[in-house]
Amino acid sequence: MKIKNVLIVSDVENQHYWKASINKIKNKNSLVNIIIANDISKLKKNNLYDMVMVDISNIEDLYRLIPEIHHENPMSRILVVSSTPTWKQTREIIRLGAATLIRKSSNLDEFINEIDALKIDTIK
Amino acid sequence: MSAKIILLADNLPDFLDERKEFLEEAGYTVITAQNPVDAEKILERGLVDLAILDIRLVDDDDPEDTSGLELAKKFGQDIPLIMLTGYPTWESVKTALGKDITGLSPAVDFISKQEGPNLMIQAVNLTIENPKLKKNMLYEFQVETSLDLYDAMDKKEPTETSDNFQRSLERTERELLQHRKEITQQSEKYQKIAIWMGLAGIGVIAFGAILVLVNITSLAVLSGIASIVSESISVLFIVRAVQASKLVDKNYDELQEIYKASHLISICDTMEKSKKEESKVLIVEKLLAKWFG
Repeated sequence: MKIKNVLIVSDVENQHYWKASINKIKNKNSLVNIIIANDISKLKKNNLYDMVMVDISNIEDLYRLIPEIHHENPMSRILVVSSTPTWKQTREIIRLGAATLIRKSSNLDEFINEIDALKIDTIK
Repeated sequence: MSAKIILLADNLPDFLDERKEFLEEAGYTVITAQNPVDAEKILERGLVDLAILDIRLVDDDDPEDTSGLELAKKFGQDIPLIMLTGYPTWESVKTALGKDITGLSPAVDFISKQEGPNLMIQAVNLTIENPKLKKNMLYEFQVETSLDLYDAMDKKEPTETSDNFQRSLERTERELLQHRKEITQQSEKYQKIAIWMGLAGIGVIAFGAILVLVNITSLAVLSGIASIVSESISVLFIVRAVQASKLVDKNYDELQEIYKASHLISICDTMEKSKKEESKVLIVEKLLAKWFG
C-alpha cells in the first residue's frame, strides 16, 4: 500500500488546532506522511503531495495561490482551512480549484475524515 | 439548434414565475417544479440539460430543509446542477460544490437569490455549453463576467491576449481529460453492476422454474420476486450508465471545440510576424463571440 504525502502549509507550532490534529493522525495512521511548511516554496512542480492543506491565516494572496498549486500539482487534492469561513469565500475557493474547505475548530472530525478518505483511496 | 431545456425548482410560485420569464427571455426552454417530488420525477427522465434547484424546496422557514441538496447528491453526477438559495451558508456551499475524493461534486455552481436574475443567467450560460472552457477563459483574463472580457482584451497587448487564450485552452484540456477519465470509469462500473445484476436475475428465474417443476410453489414465488428486484436494479444501473455516456459525449464536444481553437491558433504561427498576432487576436475575438454570444 502506497504511503500518502500530505503537505500542511501553516504556522503549525503556534496553533493548537494543527498540533492536536497532527498528533491524532500520527497516532492513528501509518499510511500518511505529514510534511509541514511555512510557505509554498516546497510545492513547485514536484507532484509529491497527494493532499495540500493551506491554512488561510498564513497566506496573503490565497486567490492567486490556489490556481498556482492546482496548475503545478494537478493531481493534488487542495484543502483550505479557515477558522471563520464565509459562503462567498468558500464558493470562490472551490471555483478556483480547491477540493473543499474545512473549518478550524475544537472538533477535529472534518480533518480526520479527510485524511481517512485519502487512506481509503490508498487501500482501493 | 434547439433550445436547451432547464429545470427550475423552487417552492415559491411568484419567484418561480419571475425567474422562468428571465430564462425564457434568454432563449431557454424552462420546466418548473414546486416540490422535491416533482423535481425528482423530471430529473429521473433525464431530459433536461441543466437544473437549477432551490435548497429549501419544502419549507423556506426550516433551516433543516435541505431537500434540494439531497436531489443534487442523487442526480449531480448525471445532470449539471446549479444550487440556488435565499439562505446561503458556507456549509451548504461546501456540500454542494465540495469535491469528494474522486474529484466529483453534486453541483457545478452555487448562487444566492439575492445576487439577482442576471447573475443566475450568467451562471446558466457558463454551465450549459463548454462550461469548463468559459470558466477558464474568465479566469485567465482575470474578469468576473463575459461582458468584462472584451474590455480586458482591449487593455491587453495582442501577444498577451493570445497567450491568455492559449493558457486557458491548455488548462481546460487538462481538466476535461481528467474528467473524462473519471466519468468513463464510473460508466464502466455501472455497466458491470448492470450485467451482474441482470445475470443474477436470470439465474434466480431459472431456479424459480425448477422449483415450480418440483412443485415447491411458495419458494418459487419468492424466487420470482427476487428476480424482479434484481432485474430492476440492473435496469437502474443501465440508465445510469447511459447517462454517464451522455456526459462523456458532452465532454467530447467541448474537447473538440478546444482542439479546433488550438488548431486555428497554431495556423497563425505559420504566418509572417507582422500578421501573426493580429490574426490570432481576430480568431480569439471570433471564438469568444461564438462561445459567450
